[in-house]
Amino acid sequence: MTRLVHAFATISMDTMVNVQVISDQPRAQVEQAVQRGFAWFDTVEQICTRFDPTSEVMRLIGSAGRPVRVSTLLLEAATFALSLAEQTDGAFDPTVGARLEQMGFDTNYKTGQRVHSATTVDRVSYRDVLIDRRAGTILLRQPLVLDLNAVVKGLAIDLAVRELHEYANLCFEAGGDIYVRGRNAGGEAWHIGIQHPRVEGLIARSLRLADEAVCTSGDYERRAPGVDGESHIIDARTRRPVTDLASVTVVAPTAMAADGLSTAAMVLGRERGLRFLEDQAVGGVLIAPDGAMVSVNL
Amino acid sequence: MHRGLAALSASAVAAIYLAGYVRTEPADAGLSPVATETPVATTPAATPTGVASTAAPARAASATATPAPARAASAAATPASQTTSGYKDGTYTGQGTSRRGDVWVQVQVMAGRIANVTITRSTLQYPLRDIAGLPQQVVQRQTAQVDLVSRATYSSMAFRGAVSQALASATAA
Repeated sequence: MTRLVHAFATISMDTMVNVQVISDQPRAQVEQAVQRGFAWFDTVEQICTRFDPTSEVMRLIGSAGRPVRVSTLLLEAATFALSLAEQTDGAFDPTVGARLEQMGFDTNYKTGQRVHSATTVDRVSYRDVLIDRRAGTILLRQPLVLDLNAVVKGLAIDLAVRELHEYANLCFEAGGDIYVRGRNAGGEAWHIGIQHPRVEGLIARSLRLADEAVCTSGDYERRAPGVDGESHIIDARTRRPVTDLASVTVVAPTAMAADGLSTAAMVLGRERGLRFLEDQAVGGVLIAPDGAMVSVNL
Repeated sequence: MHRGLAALSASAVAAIYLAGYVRTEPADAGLSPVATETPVATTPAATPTGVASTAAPARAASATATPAPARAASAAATPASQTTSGYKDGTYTGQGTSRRGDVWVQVQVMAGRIANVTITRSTLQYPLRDIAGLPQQVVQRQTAQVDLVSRATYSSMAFRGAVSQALASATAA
């Protein structure tokens, strides 16, 4: 049986988004669904970006001190990020946004404009974000920058693949975050390699997956231009970049979980991160700066 | 205590998807700012129409263009569909929105076919030459579903939204 591989790409969230759909349908038909998927990326970014002072999440700053009704998307993304913060006892904390700005992660990739938010940087934590799910509101107790970047790329992938529900075999990738469904063009489970965090081009481990998401958080992908090339993953308690691990890869049912949990495990460090992933019953591969690798549930 | 983040993420994705934010807006006019005080309806039955009522006029306009994608899909599935496009003859205008500016187009339908597409106005931050080839694609393919131009994603999307809107009028006419 001949199968067509339809490949599509776009740029969103400051990264390349690549889709492969294995289907007998003509390309134009598949493209309809893919474009609906891509549209989710722009929506998620538009609502959740901290690089645009007019985004919904950034406009919360101006309403600090009172509850603000928000879109379902922002409510759910923030709820998940806060749950992640609670379950890591604040090691992962989405309120580090202003600190990231200070470190030099402050430039809008589309406009080149730098952002600087009028916020209190040092004494905020996730406990300053109160969500009332019944009312659909978010209340910031202090003006703070909510950084949802650890979950939104995964979330966008999950929403996009829902638009592709009629296709049994596909691979959806955005900046290294991947969701695979069914089988590849060769009729096999999808073959996903984990990039070695220190040796470019070397695959540290490869996985065979179907109907799962894989995300990797690493200290090597984005380095701050400002502060000695610091990594973009910082420990909320010390406000310093993480050093214990070079990368964490998580395999989970959703890309949102894989995305968030890989960042959280990265912050937690080798031992606590491993336990955390074990408790969450997701697959994980943790690689230390010296190349030592441990895995869980894989 | 360390339980269930994967399950929580799955229910979050389902809730957002069911809220139906941009599901049927392939041209992504949803790039206009969201009104903070007017959240999206959260009922599973929420449709793009419900979204449009809470959004800026440009969005609402493009939401009305949603019949276009379905029709374009069936048209695209059969290359010989040029005679069955179902558009009424006339000249139609449409506006497409993106966060980097808007595009206005004029679409001329003759003998049921898209005969001519002209970009009539633009507030895009980018040069129009980026998307100069797209009007011709619309005529060739008889659909608003043109290629995205690499490095001109927003311009392409705004253009597509404009054509979708014009073709929606051509259908409703």
